[in-house]
Amino acid sequence: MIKNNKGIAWRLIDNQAVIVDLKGNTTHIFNAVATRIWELANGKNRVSDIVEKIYQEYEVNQGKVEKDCLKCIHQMRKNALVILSSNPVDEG
Amino acid sequence: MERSIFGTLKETAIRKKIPINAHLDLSYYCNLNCVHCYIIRDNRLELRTAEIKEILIQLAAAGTLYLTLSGGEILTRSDFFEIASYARKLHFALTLFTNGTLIDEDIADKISALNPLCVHMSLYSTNSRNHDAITGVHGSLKKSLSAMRMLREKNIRVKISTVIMRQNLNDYHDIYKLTQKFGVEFQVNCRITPKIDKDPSPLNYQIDDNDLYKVISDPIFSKQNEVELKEAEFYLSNCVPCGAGHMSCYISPYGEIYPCIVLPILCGNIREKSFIDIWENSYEIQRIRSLAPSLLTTHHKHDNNIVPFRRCIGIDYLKGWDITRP
Repeated sequence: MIKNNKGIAWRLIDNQAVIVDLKGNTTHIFNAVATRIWELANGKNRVSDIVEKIYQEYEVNQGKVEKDCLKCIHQMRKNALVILSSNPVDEG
Repeated sequence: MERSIFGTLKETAIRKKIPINAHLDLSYYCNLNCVHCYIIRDNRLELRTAEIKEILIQLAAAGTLYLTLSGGEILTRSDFFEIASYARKLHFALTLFTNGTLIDEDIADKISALNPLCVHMSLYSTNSRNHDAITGVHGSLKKSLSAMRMLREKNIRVKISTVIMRQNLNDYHDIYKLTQKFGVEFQVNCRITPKIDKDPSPLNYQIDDNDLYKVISDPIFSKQNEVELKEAEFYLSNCVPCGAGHMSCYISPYGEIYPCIVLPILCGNIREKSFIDIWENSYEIQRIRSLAPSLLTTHHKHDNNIVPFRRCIGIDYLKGWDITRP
């Protein structure tokens, strides 16, 4: 499962996810696809689920979708915005 | 001019009238008694926990990302951590304003668990006699400094805000040195506001224009900070007088919505109407949005230099000036 990091604040603003890394004090504004990936990174989806959903929603070349999604998720992980977990998110 | 991400965000917020910044005072009660405080506390019932949670839900839905929790002293509310934790569950970026005097190790741990963007603390002097004379409470400097150390030990970003007044004009350099030593950010504020009922008595502590110019020209306020400030204000300066009512708002402990903490033009009460209804439809908000920035730019002459100066519409208003006229 992929989920948002705890040390993140975020909001959908003008249909774009605005992400604030609270420790690093950096801000990211995502484009439409990255915003959708971010929404799906809710602790209830695997990376493969996200790729499949993006493919269904955007109806573009599957290979390109997979490549772009993985690149985007890799970037999110690199910036510590998301984490991978073996367990579904605990909504608490 | 290349825009920063934050500049882009502000531009979007102003254009679309999204309240990305909200300042919520949880209580006007404070355990200090600062001489320059503008707050007037009365006997009305302050917002209950459930009411505040409902406000947070509405703010999140309206697009608020940056939420400042302030007061009064936030830690005098027994439900503070319940509220702040709820705000974090709603994904707000929290900034906390506290005088720090109620912070011990346990409280510092709880603050750390909130992952706040920043904790702001006020410091008026490194000399306890001067600081405590301003706060009106003996021993307050010692407690605030202890809190600052504890928060920093937990790697929490701390910003020290110093209101410069006649009493502490010569003290801010020592505060700056202290902040450097502890890896704490530092900012000064030379604007003293009248009380929110327009009582001008706090203005007696305000430094004069010459001292103001000396302070803002002081090299300790780094070039980098200056650039950031200019860039952040680039869009604002050309389109709106400030963010008040355009992308930011203030909510009092009684549920009243204002464009800004120092602009007490009541736009509505969240106990009577929804936040979004007030934000989008209030006559007073529309009036603030109609003000042109040129109304508020004045120029000061100092040593044959002409210095542009953006007046604060809130302070103008509190001084009893007509904010719709140049």
